[in-house]
Amino acid sequence: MASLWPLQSAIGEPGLGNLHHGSSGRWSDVRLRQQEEGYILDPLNDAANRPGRDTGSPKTGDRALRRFASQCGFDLGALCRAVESPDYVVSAVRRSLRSQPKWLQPHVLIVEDKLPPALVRPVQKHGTEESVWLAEAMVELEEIDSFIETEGLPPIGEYARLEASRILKELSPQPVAAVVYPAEGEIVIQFTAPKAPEMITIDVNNNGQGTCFAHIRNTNRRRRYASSSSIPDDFVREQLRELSLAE
Amino acid sequence: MTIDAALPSEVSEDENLGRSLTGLYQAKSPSGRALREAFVDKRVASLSVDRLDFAPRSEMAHLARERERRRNPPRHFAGWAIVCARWAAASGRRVEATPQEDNPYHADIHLPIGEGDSAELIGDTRKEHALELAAHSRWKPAPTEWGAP
Repeated sequence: MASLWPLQSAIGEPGLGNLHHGSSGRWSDVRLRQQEEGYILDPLNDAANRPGRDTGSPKTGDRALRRFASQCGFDLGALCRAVESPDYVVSAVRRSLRSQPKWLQPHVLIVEDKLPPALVRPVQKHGTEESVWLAEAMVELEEIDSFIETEGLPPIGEYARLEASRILKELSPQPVAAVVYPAEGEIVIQFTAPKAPEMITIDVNNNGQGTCFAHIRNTNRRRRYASSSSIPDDFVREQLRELSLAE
Repeated sequence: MTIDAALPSEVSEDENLGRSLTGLYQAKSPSGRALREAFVDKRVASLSVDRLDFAPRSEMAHLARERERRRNPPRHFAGWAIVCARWAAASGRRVEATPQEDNPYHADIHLPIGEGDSAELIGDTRKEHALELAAHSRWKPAPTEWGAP
């Protein structure tokens, strides 16, 4: 199944170069091989996806891509062919349609339009794939301050935010979506089984500690971590594995 | 349950108990379940809930809205995290009908917290029970069209 993924480190990162929308309407200095996150999506246009054949009208593929992006909750900016490779379309994700309308910086979508429709090729990071829910969770992490203010919670420190971000990314290869929200002095990452009464939370505390709580098959388990840097460990991964098996 | 029926002094295991919640929970409830923090209250050893099966929906929502408005700062009532009394009374918890002057439908879910436990253990215990309750809950936003649980 094809899906969409925003790259989070494409603009302004050392070594990646900058994206320029030149007068010719083409992006330049896109160094695709250095991307750390994201994957390649082929548009839904069948004509564009048959190997060895013309891609057909670029506008047809672009429309399909925009429609698909909209379904995934993203509004794309201008679509341009990357200079480095004519097989790639590069676009800036202007905003997330699921969250409050805002500019997402720096997110860039790279689309390859000459692959068969069924092929989605992830950009490998540490040999793992990332799930679609990560983008939404990262937006929620960015938005915790608004809830801290309205709920009268104490502020969350920068280290806890960075740790939460790291943990989310490392756990994103598993399929159960996470919800991220602030609590008193900590960030809570909650994984909920779609139907079964099973749930896992990972607490990333302002004091640098962490805790994992799990309620799976009516059994409660927990593990404390003197440092949240130990998360995720085998315990956390095993709880998530069991959660992903829940019906 | 019959709406407007006489209010029993004991909470039966089939009753629906609702924990009234504010905006954060409305925005983020996943898969129809409540967030864990919906069932966390560090100030007390019991969780306040409403017995939802004995009053018209409008009355319950009104009581909840007024209660949230009286808080400092005032909060916006967003809905209930609902858990069956059977699950509320599991894992050593105890459910007790505790009617109040301004809320005759009030009940408490007492948590099994030891008086001699360390602060860290107490905190973990609260969260553990909260996670279990949240896992067995369902989110009902306000205003709600009341139906079968």
